[in-house]
Amino acid sequence: MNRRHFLKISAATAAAMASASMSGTKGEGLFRPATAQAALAPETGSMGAKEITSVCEMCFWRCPIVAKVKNGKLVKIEGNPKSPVNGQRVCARGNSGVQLLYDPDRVKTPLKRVGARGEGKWAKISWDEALDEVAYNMQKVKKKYGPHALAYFDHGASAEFMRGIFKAMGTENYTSEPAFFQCVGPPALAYLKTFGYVTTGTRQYNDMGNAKAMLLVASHIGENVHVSHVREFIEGLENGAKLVVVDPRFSAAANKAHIYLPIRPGTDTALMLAWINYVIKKNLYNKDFVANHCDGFDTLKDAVSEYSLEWAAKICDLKLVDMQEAIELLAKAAPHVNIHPGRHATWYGKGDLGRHQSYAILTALFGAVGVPGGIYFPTPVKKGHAECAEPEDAETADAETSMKDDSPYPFSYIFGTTTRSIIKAILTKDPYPVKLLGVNGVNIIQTIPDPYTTMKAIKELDFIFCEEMMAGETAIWSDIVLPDTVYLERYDGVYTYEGLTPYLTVRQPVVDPMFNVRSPYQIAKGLAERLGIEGYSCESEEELVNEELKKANLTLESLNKQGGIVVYEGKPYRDPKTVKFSTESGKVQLAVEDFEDEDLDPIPKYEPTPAPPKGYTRLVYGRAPMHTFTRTMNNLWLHNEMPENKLWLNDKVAAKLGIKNDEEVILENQDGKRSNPIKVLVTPGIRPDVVFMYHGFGSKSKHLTRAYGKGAADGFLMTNVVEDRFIGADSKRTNFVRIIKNNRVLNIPELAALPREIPRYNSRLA
Amino acid sequence: MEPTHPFYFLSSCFDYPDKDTPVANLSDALVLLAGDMGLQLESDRKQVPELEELQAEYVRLFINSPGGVAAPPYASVYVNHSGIMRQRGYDEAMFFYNKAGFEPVESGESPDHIMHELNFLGLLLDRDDMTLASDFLNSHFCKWYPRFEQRIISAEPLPFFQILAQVTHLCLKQTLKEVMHEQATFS
Repeated sequence: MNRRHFLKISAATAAAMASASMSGTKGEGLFRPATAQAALAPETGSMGAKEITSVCEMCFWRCPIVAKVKNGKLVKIEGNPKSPVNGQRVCARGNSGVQLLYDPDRVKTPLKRVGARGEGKWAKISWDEALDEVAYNMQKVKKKYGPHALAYFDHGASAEFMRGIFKAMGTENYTSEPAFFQCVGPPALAYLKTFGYVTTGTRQYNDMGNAKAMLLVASHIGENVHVSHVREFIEGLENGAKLVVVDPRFSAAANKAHIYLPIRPGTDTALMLAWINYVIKKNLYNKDFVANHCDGFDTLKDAVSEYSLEWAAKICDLKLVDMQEAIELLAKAAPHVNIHPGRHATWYGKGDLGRHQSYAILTALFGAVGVPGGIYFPTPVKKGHAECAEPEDAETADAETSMKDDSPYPFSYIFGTTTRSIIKAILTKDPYPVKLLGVNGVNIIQTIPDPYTTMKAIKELDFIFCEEMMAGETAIWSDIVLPDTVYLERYDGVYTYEGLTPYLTVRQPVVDPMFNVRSPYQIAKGLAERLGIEGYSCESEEELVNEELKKANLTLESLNKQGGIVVYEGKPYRDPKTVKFSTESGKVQLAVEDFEDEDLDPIPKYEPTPAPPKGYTRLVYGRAPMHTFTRTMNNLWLHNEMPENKLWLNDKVAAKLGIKNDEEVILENQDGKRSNPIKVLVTPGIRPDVVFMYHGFGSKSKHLTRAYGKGAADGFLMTNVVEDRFIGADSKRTNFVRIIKNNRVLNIPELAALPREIPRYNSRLA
Repeated sequence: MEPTHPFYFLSSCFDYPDKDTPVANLSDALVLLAGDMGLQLESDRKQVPELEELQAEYVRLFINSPGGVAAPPYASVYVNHSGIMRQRGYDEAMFFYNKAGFEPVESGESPDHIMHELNFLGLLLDRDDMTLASDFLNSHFCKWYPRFEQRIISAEPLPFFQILAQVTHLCLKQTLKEVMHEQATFS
């Protein structure tokens, strides 16, 4: 046969190529004869696509979804029409799961660090090498320093199976969720101790849709988007609910408020205690509910008697008449009034729990519990437990001094080991050395305030590994990176919703995994085998899911036949005459004895939060509607919607500083730490003593091609951290900044006079 | 048998270099091929890279890298300008594979990876399917490859990958010319 030569290749080149091939190159063998019929020409759109139900994980709210899949490709995501909470709707983030799945910046293969920690220089390794390395280091550190030298920072659905591995290794530090210690811990505890159940944790049981009035204290619903919450909020407003918003910034929610109170930052508890006092003094409280269902009313009455509206007006920098009108409006709607329990609460450290406890107390005084419009009771949904997906034996080893049980924060053990104590132990070996970190679903650099100390701590570790989908900050600091499937490629457990319209659904893969990634369960199972941990006997995730479905008399198959979701009847309300609470006395605790037993205030007190030093302003932050934490900034669609954050700056302050809209500035905090450049949004919609930015931007990871360096990171300006006394949660609004423009440091003028009762922060530099 | 085209070889060069990869052989062959294609190389660009150096560079360029994934090696990223995977470029690749009666073997890599596309071109040339080769190059591969090459060159890669990118470009260009000529002659 006369073979045609397409290129003029010399004999020497041909021989060299042949030699290279004969020595084991793998270019050939990438194809086989087709078994399926030839595909049609490329087509677009989702018409005719196969529909697979699943659960979103673009944020932790986990809306039921339908994935539209065509020729093995995900082409569109919609809400599951059978879902009572979101119906066919998903938010911008939910839609853009397609982009997450197909992002070329995903971690595609196990990686081993070959440069310095933080440099982001890697070699590709096999799964066997990666898991062997992690297992070897876990055993080595445990043998050398004891089991508690292992610690785990975890968040989200991916993190659960690995938690079992850390538990089985005997460490007490198997969980330190930022979801609690940097977010919802204080309100979760405040409501648990007041009402006997976690009204606001991962889920929130507050009935905005049926409220006649609502109070939001800095909860910026609409910017902070959970689809069902936004729907309920809007439904409430459509039904005529009056809205009071307390926020130093004119948020999206404030834009819909009947009364907007632009409060001085750090004084919310003063306002709440004055309102509680006013409600008691003016007999605006629900006497039947208080008499029959509350303990500690007289103690409360005495404790708050000193807080007058006049006093609060001065402290909070609000108009007395507005404060009075607002509380009268809320009282008039009682008991169908929604005092929103709040969510992200780690603001000022010391007073955070008390602030949320005051929301709970006001809720109880209005009798707004278990009634339409108030907070309500969850309806349990039956779900089994898959023992085959966890270690058989997971006993925590004794510790001479326990970081968890001997914590200076008496209630921190409920949520795990505090983040700050783990970082401190890494640096000081007190009470014992922590030498290995596993990280899953947490951007440890941007989520935990004072990243400079975190980075210093990481350098002291013997070993750090992470499970990641995207090569974010955590990955570049890790020795081994284990690539995780995204939520569209895997099963997780069964999800139940215990809210107003309870349901059960399941996450399931809608497409085959891309690249060389593995599901969290398979990663944990692989590690368990190497570490000699018994358990993790489910061969597949389907088996795990079917185990969990048994108790609900379902199988994966039968659930899928019903559209992937089963909806149950909700029982959120109670007869006010017979309602019982899961507290020791069966009543609402207006004064919490458990707190008093630990020498903590049983009733909140106003404790001034230090004001900005002269020349500085307070830095606050919030959520953007199209982004989740620091996770989504690299997502193409979401990046296009909001590629960077801006610094909200009061217009009068801006005029005095000579700063115009969209000008670029740098921020410098009270300890001299500087931000990336950030554009300024000049607006009358923020007080002069505070600046605001959306959280999650200013990624320092060069691996996130779109997000890198876009906007500023609030976390890198947080070096002053105050811990709350109850659970040791970190404060994130106790930092102050001034502005640098064209290399000139500009001191922030003080336009709102500061009352003598509020001290200033003493800064080293200021 | 003497190879009639370099595309299996080039495909190998775009694979991740592991401990079994004959780096010196690949590098030598690549330099020779560059010479055949008329690419003038300075002597320092002909040096054989260390395996570890080549691995870290591969990760930087094609997997996860400082400054972003410098040059994602997937057709989809370039064809429809969305910059993400499994879009039109992927559809096109799958269309051609199917039309030729092939399907990609599961390899942990997307079927529109440069490695697959080079290999597929080799298969078409081996079976003398000039019509499909011409169509594949004209309407797909040669449309996205220059953008990919540009991304590699912009990342200032190690000489091995710079030469690889340039040589691949020259081979594709020359082959396209040849197959179109063959088609014109025989049709």
